[in-house]
Amino acid sequence: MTGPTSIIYLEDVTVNFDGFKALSHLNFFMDRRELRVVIGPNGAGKTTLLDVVSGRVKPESGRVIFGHHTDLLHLRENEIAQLGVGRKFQTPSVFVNLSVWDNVELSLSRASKGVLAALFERDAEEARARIAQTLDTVALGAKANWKAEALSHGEKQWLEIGMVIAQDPELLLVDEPVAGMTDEETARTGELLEAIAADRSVLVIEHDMEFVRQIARKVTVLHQGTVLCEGPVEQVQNDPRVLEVYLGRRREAGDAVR
Amino acid sequence: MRRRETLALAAAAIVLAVVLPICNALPAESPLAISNFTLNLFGKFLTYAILALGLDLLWGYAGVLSLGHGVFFGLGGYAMGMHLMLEIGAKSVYQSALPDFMVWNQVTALPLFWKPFHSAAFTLAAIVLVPALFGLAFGYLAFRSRIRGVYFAIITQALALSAWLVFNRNEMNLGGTNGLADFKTIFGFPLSQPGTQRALYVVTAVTLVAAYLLCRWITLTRAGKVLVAIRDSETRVLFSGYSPAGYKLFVFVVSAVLAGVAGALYAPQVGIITPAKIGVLPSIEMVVWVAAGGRGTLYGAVLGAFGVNWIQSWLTTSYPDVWLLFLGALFMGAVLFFPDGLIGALGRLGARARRLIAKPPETISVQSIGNKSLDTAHLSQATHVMSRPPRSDK
Repeated sequence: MTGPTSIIYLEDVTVNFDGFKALSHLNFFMDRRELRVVIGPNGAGKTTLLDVVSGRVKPESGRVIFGHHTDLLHLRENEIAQLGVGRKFQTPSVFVNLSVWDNVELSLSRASKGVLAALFERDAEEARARIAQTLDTVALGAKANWKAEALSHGEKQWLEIGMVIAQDPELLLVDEPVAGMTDEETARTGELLEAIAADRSVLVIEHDMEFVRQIARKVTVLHQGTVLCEGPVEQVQNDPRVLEVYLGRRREAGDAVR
Repeated sequence: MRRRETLALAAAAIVLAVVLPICNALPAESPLAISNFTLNLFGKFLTYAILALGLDLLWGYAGVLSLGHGVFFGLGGYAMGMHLMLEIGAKSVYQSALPDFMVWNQVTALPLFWKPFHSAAFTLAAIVLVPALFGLAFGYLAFRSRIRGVYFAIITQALALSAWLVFNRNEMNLGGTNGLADFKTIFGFPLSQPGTQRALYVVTAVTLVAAYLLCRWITLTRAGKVLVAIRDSETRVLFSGYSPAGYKLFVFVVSAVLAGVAGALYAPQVGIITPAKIGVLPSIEMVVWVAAGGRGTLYGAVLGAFGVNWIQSWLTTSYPDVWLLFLGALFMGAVLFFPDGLIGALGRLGARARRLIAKPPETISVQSIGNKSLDTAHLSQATHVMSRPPRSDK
């Protein structure tokens, strides 16, 4: 079943939204310390896949196993996050009325994130060092005291990546990290993700094919809620089925013009 | 706590808890004397301020709007009122050991749930525990089902309406529409004595200071930051490993307890507690105090509760017809023009004054941070930010 190296394992997962099967008998498997990119046309079920893993959507059937044998199906989002699954949303989702520092402080991994711990615990020097280090990683060290509201779009995206890193997750789920970024920001985000993947597993959803080529070693193509094919970027790009579903629309559009 | 706030709080505490009662104890002909009536009025305002603190913690920090806090105020007020009714004993109009309204309603024996209120200790515990447990049960069901925003506001309003209906019923043995009144003594001290009223006032003022310190402490801990984070992005809080429901439940219960304590201090000072303090309208008025004073600051809530009620007591005596119009205008004005209340408006005024006083406008230096260059995308974003109003209500 799940090998010793597996970080996330989905078996025969079906998600049904009032008759629309966002995921249909999906099987998906990722190794530890793997950087995987999931691509696919709109409505292929990419974000739903992240929703299932992070607990936001409960599938109607199937199994979702994290690590060796942790069943995620009966856990709430915050419990899954505490287990070591971090999620970066597509649109930046940060706490705009808190300082950049506080944003990371709240996200920092801790034994307990309950009310009592939050009332009575004070952060040790070690925790402060981790916050500072995380801010340096995402190049926001100089803006630690800024209100997150004042950051640019790209900086908010980095802050959120920083917050997810601070959670110290074993598995990072990243939804279209470079949407709306400039080319330079995109390149730096790619470097950042590759650095993160050195000692964690990262699952990225992306539309930007150039960015996919920059970071991806292995690509999974989703289509109509199931895996269409999987493999290295070059192989996937030349797979006729992928061209059919992924570029098919463009060709049809071209045909229509002709 | 910031230095300025500590100083202001200490000054306010000394004036409210020490200076005013001393002025009240002065002989009436002294120029500094404060009448019993005024001190009593202030005592009532201070109980409202205690409630407003909890409401601000809930609404201003965690972003949870409750339109039903009159219920918790009523629970505390009725718990205290029941004890005071039993203290009257046979000194009542009908010379019966039962409260007068029970005699009218031909109730012959004290209902079972009234009996423990003979005990002062039980009453004091009930003032805290009844609102706390009720808030816990209600909040648990609501927050666990992820009812939030306007939906939560609506069900709290429904709560206020149903509680008002229940307390109005004579069958509840809580005095029906007339509520509980004609209290004679509190823990043996006659309520008609100025000394007793003064002591009640001091207890209220000290409770307010303690409540303020409690709320401020909460906002300064990491839990306080989580509350603000919930207001900003509940989803992010959830995916950061926190249970927003747990934090909202915590702050809801704290605010319910503060409301209950406020009600318990209100009943003996005003001398009556009726369902009119529980319903929809008083619950909305409480929200107006916080909105008018300024959300998310704590002192704004205190100033709002004090200020709005002071104006109310002046308007209702001088221009009784205008009061409700004024209240409506105040709420609309706060929502439309001063979303951050009196405190926010004063802050903006102060900032503008400082800018006028500061001589030449400083040249804006754009520092490129790190190796990021300032491209057109950022410039357009920057101008967009500058063209926005100073602070918008989110």
